[in-house]
Amino acid sequence: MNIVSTPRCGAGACVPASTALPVPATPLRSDAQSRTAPPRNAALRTKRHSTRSRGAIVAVLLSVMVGGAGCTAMSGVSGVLFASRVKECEGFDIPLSVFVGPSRKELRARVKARSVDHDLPFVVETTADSLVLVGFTPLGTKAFTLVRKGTDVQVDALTGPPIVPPHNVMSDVLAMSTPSTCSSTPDGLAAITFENWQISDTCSNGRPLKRQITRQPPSVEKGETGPDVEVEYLEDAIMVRQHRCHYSARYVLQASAPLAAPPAAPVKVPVVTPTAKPAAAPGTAPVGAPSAAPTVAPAAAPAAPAPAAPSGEDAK
Amino acid sequence: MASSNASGPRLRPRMVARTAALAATLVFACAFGGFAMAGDPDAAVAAAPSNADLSALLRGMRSAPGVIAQFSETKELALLSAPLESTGTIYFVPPDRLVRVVTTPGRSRLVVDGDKVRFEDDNGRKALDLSSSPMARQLIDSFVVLFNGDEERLKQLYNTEFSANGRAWRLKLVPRSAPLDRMISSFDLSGTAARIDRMEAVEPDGDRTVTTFGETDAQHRFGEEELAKLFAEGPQS
Repeated sequence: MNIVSTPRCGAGACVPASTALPVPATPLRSDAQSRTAPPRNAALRTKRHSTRSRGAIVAVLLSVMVGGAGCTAMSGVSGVLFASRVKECEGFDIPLSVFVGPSRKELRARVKARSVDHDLPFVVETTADSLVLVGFTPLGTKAFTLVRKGTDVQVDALTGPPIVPPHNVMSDVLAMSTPSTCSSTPDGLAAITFENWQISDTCSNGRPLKRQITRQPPSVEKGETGPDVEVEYLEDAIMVRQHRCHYSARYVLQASAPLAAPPAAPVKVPVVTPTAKPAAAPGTAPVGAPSAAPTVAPAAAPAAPAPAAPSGEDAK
Repeated sequence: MASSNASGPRLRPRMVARTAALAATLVFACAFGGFAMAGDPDAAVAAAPSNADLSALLRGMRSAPGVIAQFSETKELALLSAPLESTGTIYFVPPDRLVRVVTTPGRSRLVVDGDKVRFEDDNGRKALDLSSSPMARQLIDSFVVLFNGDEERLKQLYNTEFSANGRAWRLKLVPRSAPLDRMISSFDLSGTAARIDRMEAVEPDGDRTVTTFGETDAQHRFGEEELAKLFAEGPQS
């Protein structure tokens, strides 16, 4: 995936734009990262640390200048530099073609990570080949835009580096709204595999209650095991826990509407893995059945905030 | 979260407080919210509509005892296939208290109470750190002068075009300098007598937000009980 990040100048603070990076192998794997993405090799890591160090020094110098001069604009700069942010990470990704039809959702997210607690209202529009995500500040100003055409992703940071990387938000949206096969399976576990991601849904009455997404083969970092992503469909919200990326987010649907474009044909699931209970015939279950799809974001879904769900762990 | 206050001059908190409070007023109301500016109808009606006197309009705006205005906001973004619509009510209690309630879509409240700003929605309640959003802060700062009716300062920040036709008036504000001009190309306000009927904010990329105001009580006097209820904190997240 190609990722282009174009942060703009804030109140006196200009953030360098990242470059578009080609994807060497798997097209939909976001190996390419924008400026805040975790590097994948030692050289990049070293470069990032060096950049961080310089950034810290500049920030300290700026803060001294601000304190000495009492400059309003400069204090804004220090605010930008010192603000805690969620680390951009390589999260879950799938082709947009899995979604049944074009739709639009307005959501509010509460993202929590170490030293970050951030509200993010945003709107996301999806079609079979594009995804547009516009994030707003709590005050209603545009914070960033993300446009994905096929596998190319263009990020435009309008008010400086976003506290929550738009790429993470996109990953969350994809994770929670990838169509489920619950409608065609009995209660229990329904597992499917998209490329190198295994998605396991806990189904009840044709709807997913919980979802676990695990990279195949499972990655083990620092002894961590288990899924990369967990999604919980609560009564009034959807919780997404990005274990590898060390943050969680609670999404509440504000409004949803289908777009005018005709719906795309459902795609077939590439691989179906055995389920805990006897389920639909392997390899034939179509995804995107409206009644089974989680109701937030791109999938064709009713306006209800989330599938009916039993009591579960609430947002923090 | 970092706060620039720690590194700023001593008198910043007071300024920030005033800024935050009045700020929201326009930020939330206009392109970024919605707000009805209204003042003493007699004074403003007498002056502003008939003789195109911007000074009289500004005087009227700062003399309102309180405002309750219903608004309807439409954001037209080039990237989106259809506008974003929202409706709600704004409560303004001079000199520095404001509540913006959005009733559709979803339900949320933005509360500015002196130097405290918080946001409440289905995800809970959260205090906002304006220092982390310098652009919004700058925008907010620029509007304080409008609510203060500071015509001189207003004209330092904006090129103004004011015109009137009978009781109807129009005020166009074009930012003179950065960083505001990176965010806003112009504000176009229009109204009748002492009230604003419509506000349009155009961003440099062409995106625009149009806020229209419906039922407005520009002379509302808030009672203690009403204020207590209005500024009561919602559930902690």
